[in-house]
Amino acid sequence: MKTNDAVEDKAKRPDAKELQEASIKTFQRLASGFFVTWKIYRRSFTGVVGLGIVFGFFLIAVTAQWTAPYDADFKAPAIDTFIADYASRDLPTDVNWSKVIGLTSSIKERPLERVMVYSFEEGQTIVYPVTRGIGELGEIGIEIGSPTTYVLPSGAEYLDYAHFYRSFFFALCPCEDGSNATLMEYNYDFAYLREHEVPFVPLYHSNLWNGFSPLYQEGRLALAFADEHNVWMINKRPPEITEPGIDSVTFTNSLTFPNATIVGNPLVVDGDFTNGSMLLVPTDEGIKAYSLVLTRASLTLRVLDISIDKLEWETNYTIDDEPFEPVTGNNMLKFPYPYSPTTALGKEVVAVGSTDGRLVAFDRVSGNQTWWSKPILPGIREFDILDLYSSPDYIVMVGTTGEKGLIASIDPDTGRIGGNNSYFSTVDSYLNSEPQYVRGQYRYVFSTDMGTIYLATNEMKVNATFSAPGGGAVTPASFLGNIYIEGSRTGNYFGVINAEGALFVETLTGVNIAPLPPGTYPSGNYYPLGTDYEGHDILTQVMFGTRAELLVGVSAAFFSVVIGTIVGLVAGFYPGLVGELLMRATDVMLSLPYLVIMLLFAAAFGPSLFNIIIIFAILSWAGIARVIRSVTLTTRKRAFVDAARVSGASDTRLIFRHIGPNVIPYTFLYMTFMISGAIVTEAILAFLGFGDPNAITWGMMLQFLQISGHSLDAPWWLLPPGIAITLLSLAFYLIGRAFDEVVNPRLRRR
Amino acid sequence: MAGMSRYVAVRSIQTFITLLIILTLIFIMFEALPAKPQDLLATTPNMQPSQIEYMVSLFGYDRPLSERYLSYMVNMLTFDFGISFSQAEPVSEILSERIPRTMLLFGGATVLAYLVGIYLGALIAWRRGGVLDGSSVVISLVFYNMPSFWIGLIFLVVFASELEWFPLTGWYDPTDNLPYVIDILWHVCLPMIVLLLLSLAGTVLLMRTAMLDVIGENYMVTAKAIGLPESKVLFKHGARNAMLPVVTSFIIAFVFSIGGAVVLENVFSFPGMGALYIDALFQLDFPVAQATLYIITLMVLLGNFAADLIYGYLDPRVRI
Repeated sequence: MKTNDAVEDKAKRPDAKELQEASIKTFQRLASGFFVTWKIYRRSFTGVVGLGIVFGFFLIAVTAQWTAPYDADFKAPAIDTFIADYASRDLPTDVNWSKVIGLTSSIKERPLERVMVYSFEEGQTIVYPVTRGIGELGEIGIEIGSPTTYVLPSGAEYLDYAHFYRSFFFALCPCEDGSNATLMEYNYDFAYLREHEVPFVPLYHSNLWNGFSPLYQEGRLALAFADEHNVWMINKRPPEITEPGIDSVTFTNSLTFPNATIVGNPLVVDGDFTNGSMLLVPTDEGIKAYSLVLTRASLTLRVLDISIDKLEWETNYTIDDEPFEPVTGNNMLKFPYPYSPTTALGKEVVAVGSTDGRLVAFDRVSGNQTWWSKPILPGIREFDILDLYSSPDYIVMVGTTGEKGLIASIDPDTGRIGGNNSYFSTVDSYLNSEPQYVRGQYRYVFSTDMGTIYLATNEMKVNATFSAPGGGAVTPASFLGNIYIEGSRTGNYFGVINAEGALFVETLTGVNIAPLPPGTYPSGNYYPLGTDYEGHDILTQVMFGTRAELLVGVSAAFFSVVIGTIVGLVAGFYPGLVGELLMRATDVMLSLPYLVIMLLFAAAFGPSLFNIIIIFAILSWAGIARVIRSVTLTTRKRAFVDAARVSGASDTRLIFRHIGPNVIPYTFLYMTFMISGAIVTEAILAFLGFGDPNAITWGMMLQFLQISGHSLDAPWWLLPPGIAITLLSLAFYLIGRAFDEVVNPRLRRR
Repeated sequence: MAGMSRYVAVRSIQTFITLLIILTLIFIMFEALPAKPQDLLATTPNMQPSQIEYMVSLFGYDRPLSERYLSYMVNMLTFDFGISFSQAEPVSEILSERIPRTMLLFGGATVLAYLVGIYLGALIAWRRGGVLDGSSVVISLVFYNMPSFWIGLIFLVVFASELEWFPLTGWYDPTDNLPYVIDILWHVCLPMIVLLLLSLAGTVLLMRTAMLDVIGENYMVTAKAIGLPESKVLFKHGARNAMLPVVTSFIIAFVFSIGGAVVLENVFSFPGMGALYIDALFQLDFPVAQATLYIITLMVLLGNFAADLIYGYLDPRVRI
């Protein structure tokens, strides 16, 4: 009895050794099966070639991030793709140069006559005359003449140039003993005019020459400097328009806050220089607004004096009675100041940013809070506000997302981005220059720490990027002015000093010459297969595209054969009502106008790789279902199935355990054909505009070629993705054909 | 022929039911589209909300789903397609202008592909194993796996843009100073050649396989043995018998090539049904998109139906 039990036990639970033997046997069977298959398979030369190609593409897909010449999201630098005429002159090296300043003797349209650079340490100033030229592509260019050198006082910390009435030039030098600072004034010809003593060493400044008002024809320039406890304001009219009896038209005034600490730029708010102009001072206690009193001559209405008057209002930093922390720094406080008075109407708010990304606006006249908002930037979770600027229609917010720089146009009526066509852009790094208005183009130019120069719309949507040759810009980009020909505006220029220490002046109107044909370009980059319209390297894109193609091809085919095999097995095993219904469904699927229906599905599902896989799977299973059904119909009649049935196997077990393995070769066979079909299908969907815009696929590359309008003139872009699609699809098809001979022996004799 | 008429009746009912199912499927998919036609109206800044409401009710999009489904089915089956959203013209007029063009292009290409394909396929099979056989099979396979739009673009670059043999796009250009019909044929030429090459691949392979089956038959050996000239054996005895399965696949090949019209018409800016369909989908012009889809589906179904009838007539076994 005992032995019997033991035997039964053994039969029930095979011990480890037997299990091991069984698994070895299974493995041997599989291996020999594989070996036999391979022996037949390798007779097909095309099949081996197909397998080789697929293997090659697989290797590319896996190693793309190491072997591709560039990163997946690489774009050729602007220096390669964007041709705008430029001129450059080598400057003395080892000098800490200021930003490039454009000089003009006219007020309104700022025609660029000369450009200057100033050395902070030595006071050396080099001035180049500029004239217009014609670029290689016939675009408006620039030419730089021979320089004149001036020596100005060294050590300026603040330097700017006022393009206003006649021109001024200010240099603010801390005096040598370090006690106070001096505001020095030079004219356009670098002749010393006068100087004013600033009663402290400034920490913050704001400059404003928006006083030019066509309404009053009375230009003004106001500058305000502040240290922690003092504000000093200078307000002046140009000396060139002095009139008899009014010799000095410069007024200065100052304020002291012994108890409060100033935390940001003082702001002079212009009420067209009538009474109503204000001086705003942000302190740690809140914003304090002082009115300015203008004394006018009774007959001529000329301004005789401007002085800081009483405190008009004072406001704490609160939002709904909760205190908030304002951003501090040089441009924390901004009045949305338009360049022309007409758009100023109705936008009388003073904006301040908070450290938690909110914007708060106070009424200029009453100091009441008018709105606060936390701008929503789609796709960006966290950002910090760094500076605020003004533009004719918006408050311009400059910030950072941590990794990237950020610039946005904020609707001054609501504080929102997105209303009133406002917009935001991310740029490669922190902004190092104020966004400067380019007259005529209605555009802004600014630069970043990375040395990239951006041209953005009034809504702060980036239109173009530039980079100076020789490693980009090292000084902030500055808008220099325009050059005109025969009355029509012809060119707008910006200037920087590049990493090689050369003065670099470029037009803002250029030509995007991408797609670039294969070759080496000024940045030193070599693009083996050229680039596309946005400067993406074609070879890199094709290599990274392999991943998506293999993913889509294999998984779409896998899901469709799984559905097809299951439907076929079930329909074949139950040939009655169930089988009939399934086969009718299969007929419906087979008689669908495949591609047309697929497009409708793609439109309804939305464009993503995953959806394309699903759509392909649910629309392509019918063919294989039919084949599997017929194989199942014959297999289920065979003796081993009957034997299994008699020994009590369930239907599920019969289908999947006994019949299933016999249809697997067909499933594999059709899967290879399906992969080939799915790859081409993905390409077609993508080409027709239903592809995944976030994925790099060969189809998307060709779609972009078509929509960018370069399908007829960029063969280096047209050919590689198409060749890749054809090769990979063909390779899977060849594998299928060779495998077909293994599965269907009668084919072999041919 | 009782079996045959029963077979026809069963197949007709099956085809009709399939049509109803596909129509329903199309309706569901259009309902599932994330964008609705009224969204497009709302993007026009001058549209007042009341106007949008009026348009929505005019086109019946405010009615309950079941009612819309019913009227959709009735309209489709009675070929009453309504008015296009984007062109403010009856859809049937737009379609009646477009359908003949697509038929000309794709019908012409399929006929040519069969004529050339049968000849080539027979010849290749006859000289099996030769250079012609190997290279033509490889070339066919390459064309078979090529994305159609890509080869279309390449032909455009080479023959229209570089060599300037053919016009770049379109259907008829009065500035060419050519007679109407000639100008149209000239415009149709390039897409037709591309289409011919693409469908030729399948036909050649099919004919080659069919011919290989026939070559081994005894009557071929006999024909050769009695000393008939080779061309006579090849075409009269061989190709004629091998043609049967190839010819019967013609109708299906034709209707399926029309399904592919969406791609090639897009590449060649050919104003046919496929281009119309894509435009309508992107413009959310539901009446046009639904009608075009319906017509294409109907053509495919009728094509399949006709092919089944021919099979049924030729091969009594399938009638069961």
